Amino acid sequence: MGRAVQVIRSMFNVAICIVVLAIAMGSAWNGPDPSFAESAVDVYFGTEGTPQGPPAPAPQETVYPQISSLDSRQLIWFITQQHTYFGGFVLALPLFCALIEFLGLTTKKPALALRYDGLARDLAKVAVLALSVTALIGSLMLTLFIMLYPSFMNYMGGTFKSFMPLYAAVFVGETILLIVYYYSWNRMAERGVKWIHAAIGILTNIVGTALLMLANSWSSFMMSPAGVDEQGRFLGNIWHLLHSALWNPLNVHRFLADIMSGGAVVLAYACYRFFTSKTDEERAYFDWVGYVFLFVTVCALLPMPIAGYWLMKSVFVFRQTMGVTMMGGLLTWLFVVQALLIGVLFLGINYYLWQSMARIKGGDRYQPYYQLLLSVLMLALFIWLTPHTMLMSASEVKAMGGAQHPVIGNYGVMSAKNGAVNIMILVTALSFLYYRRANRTMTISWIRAGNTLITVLYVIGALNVIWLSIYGFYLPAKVRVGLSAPQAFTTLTVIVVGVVVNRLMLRGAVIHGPIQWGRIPLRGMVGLFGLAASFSWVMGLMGYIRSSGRLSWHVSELMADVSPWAFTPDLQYATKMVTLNMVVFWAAVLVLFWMCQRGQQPAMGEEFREEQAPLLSPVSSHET
Amino acid sequence: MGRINPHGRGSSGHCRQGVRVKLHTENEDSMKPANHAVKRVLWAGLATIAALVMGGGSLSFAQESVSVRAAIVTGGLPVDDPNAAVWTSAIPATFPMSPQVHWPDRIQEVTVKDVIVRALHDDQQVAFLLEYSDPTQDPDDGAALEFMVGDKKAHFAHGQPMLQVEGGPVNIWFWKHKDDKAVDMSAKGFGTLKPQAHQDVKAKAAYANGTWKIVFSRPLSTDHPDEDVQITPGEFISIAFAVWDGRKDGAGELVEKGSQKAVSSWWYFRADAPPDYSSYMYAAIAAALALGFQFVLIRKLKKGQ
Amino acid sequence: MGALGKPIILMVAMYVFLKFVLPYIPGSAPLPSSLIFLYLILTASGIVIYETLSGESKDAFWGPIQRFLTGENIGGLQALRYGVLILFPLLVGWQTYGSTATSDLPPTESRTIHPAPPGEYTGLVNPVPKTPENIMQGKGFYAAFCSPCHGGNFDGKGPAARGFIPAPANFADPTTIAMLQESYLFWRIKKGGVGLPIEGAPWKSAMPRWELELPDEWIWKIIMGEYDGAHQSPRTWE
Repeated sequence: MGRAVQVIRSMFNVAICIVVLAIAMGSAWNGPDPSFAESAVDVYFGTEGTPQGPPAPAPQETVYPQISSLDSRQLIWFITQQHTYFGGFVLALPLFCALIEFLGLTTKKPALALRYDGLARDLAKVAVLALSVTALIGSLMLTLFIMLYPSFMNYMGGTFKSFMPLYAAVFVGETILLIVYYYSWNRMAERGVKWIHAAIGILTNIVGTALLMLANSWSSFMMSPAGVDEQGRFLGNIWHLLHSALWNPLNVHRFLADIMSGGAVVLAYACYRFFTSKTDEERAYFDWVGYVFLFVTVCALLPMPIAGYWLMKSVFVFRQTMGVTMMGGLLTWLFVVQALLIGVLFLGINYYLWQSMARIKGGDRYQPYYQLLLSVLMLALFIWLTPHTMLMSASEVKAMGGAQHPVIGNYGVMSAKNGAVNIMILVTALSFLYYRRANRTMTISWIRAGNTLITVLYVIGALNVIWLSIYGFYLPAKVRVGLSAPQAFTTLTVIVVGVVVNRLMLRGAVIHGPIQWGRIPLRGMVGLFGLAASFSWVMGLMGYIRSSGRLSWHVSELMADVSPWAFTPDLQYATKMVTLNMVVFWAAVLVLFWMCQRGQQPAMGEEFREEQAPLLSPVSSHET
Repeated sequence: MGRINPHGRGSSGHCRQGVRVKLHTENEDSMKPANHAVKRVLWAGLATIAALVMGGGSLSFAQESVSVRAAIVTGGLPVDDPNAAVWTSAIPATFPMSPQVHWPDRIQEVTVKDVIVRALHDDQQVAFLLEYSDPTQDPDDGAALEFMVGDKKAHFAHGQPMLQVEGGPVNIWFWKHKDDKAVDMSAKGFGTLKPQAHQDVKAKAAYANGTWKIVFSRPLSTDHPDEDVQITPGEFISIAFAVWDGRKDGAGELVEKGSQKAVSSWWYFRADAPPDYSSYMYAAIAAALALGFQFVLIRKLKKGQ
Repeated sequence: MGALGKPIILMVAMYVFLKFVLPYIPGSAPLPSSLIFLYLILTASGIVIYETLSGESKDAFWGPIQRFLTGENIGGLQALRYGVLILFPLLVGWQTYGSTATSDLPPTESRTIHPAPPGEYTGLVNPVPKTPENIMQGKGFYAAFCSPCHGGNFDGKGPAARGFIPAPANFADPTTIAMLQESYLFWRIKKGGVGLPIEGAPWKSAMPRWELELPDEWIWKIIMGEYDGAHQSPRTWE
């Protein structure tokens, strides 16, 4: 308990520091005298207004102090990315807590409810601690920005002056809510009050999302300024300042990314605890946590392509050149990395599902099928990962007779990739069907007919997808785009019909036994760990693309970056930097978890042991 | 590692007969210390690695000279002597030249097709030896070195301003036969070239057998970092070259003059730093760590069994 | 053959196929080494996953490796084992040396060959009608202004080209003007090397800024002449 008090005290200190700092800065940033009150036009919204904020500094006015000979950009990059990672983690955790607490409240199985509730409380504790770390990093980041990029901070602070008190208030609100949420957990455990407690959790998340949106307004303003005139002077409409072209797409994108990255961290932690656990109970518990969070993370991932598409489309609408730079120019290699992640993801999820069978009695009946699924998946991956732009030397280009290979080059184009990704989705769905069947033996009379139906369905679906891909080669690009819809529709139909038929077939099936949590082989958890690592890593790299889209501007078209570090770093440089940032972040998070775990170990251990007995028999194969 | 999946093998009861048998035979095959097979396999693996290395090697094409490197000499820099014996110890780098077409007045053809460049330094001064063949010795023969100044990149054409990007200035060391001295100049774009108030560069030339040899020399650093290139041993600096053949055409007019000259693209120059042995230390530490890792791994493996 | 044999044979077969078989299939060409590397990595990970699908196959796959590493019952392979155990730290040391030693190679330049044009140039269409006369005229302008560097044969090998890095573009190469729109060429000819944006660094392009010397109409004609002479056609928007 003493530790907890300490944590709270240090958190309040940090919070107070930030508020004081924010207010001090707010009062220090006085706009220019509005004595010459002429009117000016908003660069984005085109509305008129009276300039109130400072103009963007001209290149010759911009100063860049240095700490000895350190690379200021690297410092800022490091600390900002840590802040983003931690911020994402802190915003995702209460979301998980609320979600899991809600699951616990609604589930009809008391043992499971207890387990959900315990997990949610553990995560809330980590969230409280992580929030203070985030605040600490945040104030460090602010200090570094003010020290190293004073002209930039002066301008941004002056422009966003009116948001400072709001930002501070939201931050303090989030802090208080989170603390209340965690410390009232045991006191509000009664059935009726519990719902109020869950409501506090939801409120925490609403405030947290507001915090995220306020923080995003800076990033989106830097990319696509609005609410200011051509000289960068704030025109008095704070809604315009906030609601720049990329704000909302960025909000959605980051919200999902935060859930994903937060989920990835929890996944990694579950794996780590699984590897190091001494008892079967612990292993069982963390196997289960891994399973639940894989589900959560993948759920956040599914709408990600749509969010990404919206963001990129908004970038193109804002400035076509920025879009071309990000999609076709300097940064295209990052999309190859993204493709790599998607490949790893499919492989990882399937591998995890296959390995999960070990904890299900009767699961190994399906072993032979995985070999076939793996072969198909690998073939699709070969096509999926063949890059459109290849890394090669001049002599290789010459030997190949151009930048495209006459045979392999065909796999680099969109049409082939669409086919490949649809096949990969189908394989994953099939793995899932096997997983559902794993511990049951069907008792219905039409097993053969049902199996034939599903097989025919998948074969026809796959053939249709492949045929559309091949057909796409012979069409001009404009028409070809239209083919992805029927392909996706085919895939979706096959999946949905397959799942429904499967479900009908499983009616009244004999269940072989409960899920034996903790029985998953170590290598399954290793696969899960790799999956989590690639999530965090790609999130960092994608953030680098977004930020690099500005090229040599601090604020697009308003304030040029004339520091020695204005160049956009290449992929290798960025990869090293992001890898370092990710490793540091994960190490810090593990320390954090370790600190939380030390205080609570006995509680968790006991609790799991006492629910162990009833838990393992009646629970069916899929809880989530 | 040793306790990987204690249960995985337990429940093969549902396994299909065929697969089970197959798995078993595979298992027994490998369980026997079938050294023969394993040996063959491992050698095949090594052969693959070797083939990969060789394959990679054959694809990396020959390195052309892209930089001038100044080695450290002790006992006097040959600043006044283009023919000094010590120049033979410097590594020559050859760079192709083109007629200046970027800016009017341009020229379509020039005499000098290549320059050979050597450099030496003694931690105080740097000396460049520029060498090129020119069939005639004319009073208007000239040559120049060009450097980027400061952190900002500059276009090779006299640091001509870029339209979208702010570039930096260039420092030009110019030599002309009839004056036989160097002029230290600055420019930031065509038409802005002018001699500096502080002349730090010296030059000495010699012509023999249709070849010009010109030595430029200057202290590594000067008091004017905004105008002069500052040479820090160990760092690469951008360098470019220009040559004018002072021959005259039938009408007695100079063919190559002003912007009508032979130019090179940007290349790199580096004054070598004193040798640094710290990387040997890092290598030793890494190797020791790897050894330790092996040791721990094998110990764990042995314990696991 | 042990369980280790098949994977290694598969890897070797894959490599041989990619490196020595695929290029000689009619209509094919050699693959860049980066792609071969990618495919081999993919094959290797596929093999590892395949071999670790079940507990049995995992043991069959991992067992020999483990036995080799621990040196138990491997008889004649003991020498090879010591070799590997000595070689591995040396390799690590060598790699570390390579990445920490001061390199004699100058900094690498990652130049974007076709950076994004300024917004006002995207989507421009050639206003000059594509008549044989205009194309002929464009080729004439090309011969006068462009061919010294880009070559009379549109191959980037003009007499003035040798000293310039990057080399003047070879229009006959399908990766240059064939994958660009006419509006892009218009921008590059008009603004030249100094018009490159920041990602076009290090701005070594010697391309003149032709807008100072040639009217727009001539530039459009030159573009038509270039495509015609190099037997390429401009990319249309996807």
